Amino acid sequence: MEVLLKVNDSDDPNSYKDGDIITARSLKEIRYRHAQHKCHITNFGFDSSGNRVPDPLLIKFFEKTHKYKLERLNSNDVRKTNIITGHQKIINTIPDEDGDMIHAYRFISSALKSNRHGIFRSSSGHEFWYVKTKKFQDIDVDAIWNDIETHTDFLKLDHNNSDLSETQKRYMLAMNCCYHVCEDDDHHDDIACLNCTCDCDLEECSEDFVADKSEPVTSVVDADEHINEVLHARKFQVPYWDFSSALSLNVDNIRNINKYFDARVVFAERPSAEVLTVDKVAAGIIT
Amino acid sequence: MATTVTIGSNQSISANTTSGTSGSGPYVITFTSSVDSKVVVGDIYVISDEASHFSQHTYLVTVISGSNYTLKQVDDGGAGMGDMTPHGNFYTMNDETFEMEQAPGTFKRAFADIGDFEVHVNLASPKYFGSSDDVIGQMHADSTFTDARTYFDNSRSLSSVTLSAADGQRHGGTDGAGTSQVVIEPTANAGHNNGIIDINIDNFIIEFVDINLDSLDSRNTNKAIVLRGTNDDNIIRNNMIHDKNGNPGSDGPHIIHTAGAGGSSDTISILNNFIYNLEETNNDSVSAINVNAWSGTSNIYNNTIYNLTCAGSSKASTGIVFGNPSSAVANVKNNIVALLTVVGTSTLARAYAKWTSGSTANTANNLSDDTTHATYDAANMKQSLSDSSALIGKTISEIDFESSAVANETQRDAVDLRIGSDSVCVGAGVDLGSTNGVNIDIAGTTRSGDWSIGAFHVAAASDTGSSAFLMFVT
Repeated sequence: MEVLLKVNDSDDPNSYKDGDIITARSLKEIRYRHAQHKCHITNFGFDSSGNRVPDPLLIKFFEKTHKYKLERLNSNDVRKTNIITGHQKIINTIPDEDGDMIHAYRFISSALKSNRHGIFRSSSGHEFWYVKTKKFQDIDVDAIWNDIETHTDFLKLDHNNSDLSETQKRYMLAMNCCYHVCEDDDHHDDIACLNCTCDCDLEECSEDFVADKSEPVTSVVDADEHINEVLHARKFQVPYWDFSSALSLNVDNIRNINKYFDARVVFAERPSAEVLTVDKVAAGIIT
Repeated sequence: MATTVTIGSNQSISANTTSGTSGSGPYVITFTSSVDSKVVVGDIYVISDEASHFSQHTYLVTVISGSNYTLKQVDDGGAGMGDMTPHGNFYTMNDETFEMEQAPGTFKRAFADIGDFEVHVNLASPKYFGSSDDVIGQMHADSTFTDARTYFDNSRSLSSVTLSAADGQRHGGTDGAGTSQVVIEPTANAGHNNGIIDINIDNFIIEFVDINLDSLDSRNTNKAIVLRGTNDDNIIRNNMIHDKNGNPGSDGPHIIHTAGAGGSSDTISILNNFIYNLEETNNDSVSAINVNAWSGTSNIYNNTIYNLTCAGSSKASTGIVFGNPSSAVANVKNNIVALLTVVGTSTLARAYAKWTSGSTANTANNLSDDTTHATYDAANMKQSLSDSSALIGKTISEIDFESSAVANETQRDAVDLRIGSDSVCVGAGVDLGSTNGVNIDIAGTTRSGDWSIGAFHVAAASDTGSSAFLMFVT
């Protein structure tokens, strides 16, 4: 998990406090974002007819990120394949028993007007395209990276960190962490679990663990009207100043907006996510 | 002054070396090689010096004219070197000749995500725009935006803040991939009753964004856009918001929701949006546009709302609910609300609900289908308004969406709320002028002639010259 922390209290008293987790991202999400850059549709050109060139990497990316493939068979008929189940059916301008229909000519001619269209042409001369992206949890990002490594020189292991903007570098602190799964019960003398007496197994944090780290603290105002009030911008923080020694963080440099300090480390050196992230309500820091 | 800044995950669009400069700030710069076409106005150019002052300077791209790029210095990295052109002041050592030469710089998006942009909006002294500017955060489909919740709580003295999808990267009325069009598809919790976009500032616009809740089935996110109360002149237009399934917790989906009353002289506008496929699975109500608490004026025009399913015998599926405070003035026109599913009594299927009789409603040309209860249809709206301009009891077939079946996930995946030329909505709307861009439909088309009801406009046959008309005149 990678977290972006607010550095210094906001001068708006209702906004972020020093150490608040503004954003938390799982390793899967970070790698998927990089994969989207590598397989971005604008990286691939057009053929002489204006169709997108069916580059093998782009096609594999679409197959792994979309639910349906559509192939035009003639002026009206389109074969719709559910990529996940393999189920196929023919649709056209007349709604089928599911109400599924398509005006192929209208759809394709409209799509081709965009320079980001994904209309390909098969070797048999028929247009095909993909629709409806998969839910994030159903996307196999590792498989996508296998394809990227097959077709390019990029390596998955070089894409474990988010690319930060200049303002994120200035006003935020990027850190990363992971689960430390231990057999021993009493070895965690080192608060950051960097020098364990046992060999911790390091695992990426679950999506559920990441999911609540950027939630605010709220209170119910009117339950019937589904209305709450925001009490604090964030529930979780990383008190990075407490880890300055264990994690070699130069707090003065971090708090100087004219200096850029990146606290992210390689996977084998990542501190414990459970130790690093603090629930401010549970810890009594805020109420 | 309006200032555009880009938002996108591409933080290394193009590396280029300057070849010339003119002007005294901003600077008109040329480059030794062609700049990537992905670079647009609102991006930044970042360059570092490795010879003398060792600082990093940041420039905002303000104009692109052919091969000339106008760059405005926005940050000198704290080195105190003042405002200076990127050409002729930044050097690096050539590894082969060991001579100093002009350093290359890198074009990047100004902000990496929406949260990054919001932090800058909330600065007392922002660097990339003036403190009283009209700021346009132009979103780019470099990758899917996954911001779980962004809270615009303070815009300081900015005149306005806009979140807008870049031209050529807008959805056009159909959902799509985050590299083809601007999509916000969070994967993490917003927190219950918070919005993915949570707004507590005046003069805010969000437009042409595809907000996809499809990856949030197991998350506690139940609202897409929340208006907290400080929302005068907020405009929510031309967005697609869709596919919330599951049980987000103790409250169901309420997709656009005013959580504060605002002032009685305040105005919000919700225009030309698609909101569809909201399916609660555990004992909660559902609403698409809920401005019930708003005490000022709400303009709710040309929205299309489809497939709302609540769970629980006492729970309601409601398209548009408004007008609880007596000071509220709701202008509700040209909307479509269709396919409301309820478990309990049919009175819980509510296309439109003006909550109290004491508030003011100006309604016209709204449509409800045959799934709503008559008390809550487009004519009555809970208060027996008897609006004779309403279209009521229409069937899905009469509305003629491109794809409307929802019996299973495959069908819901294909829902397309653009209407066909045979729709009863075509030419059945009232002309609402052009204030706040209400005349621009969800696909970006300027309405002309007789307006269609709903977010997607189809020119009426009388406006285009129908075949019958053409036959007559020829």
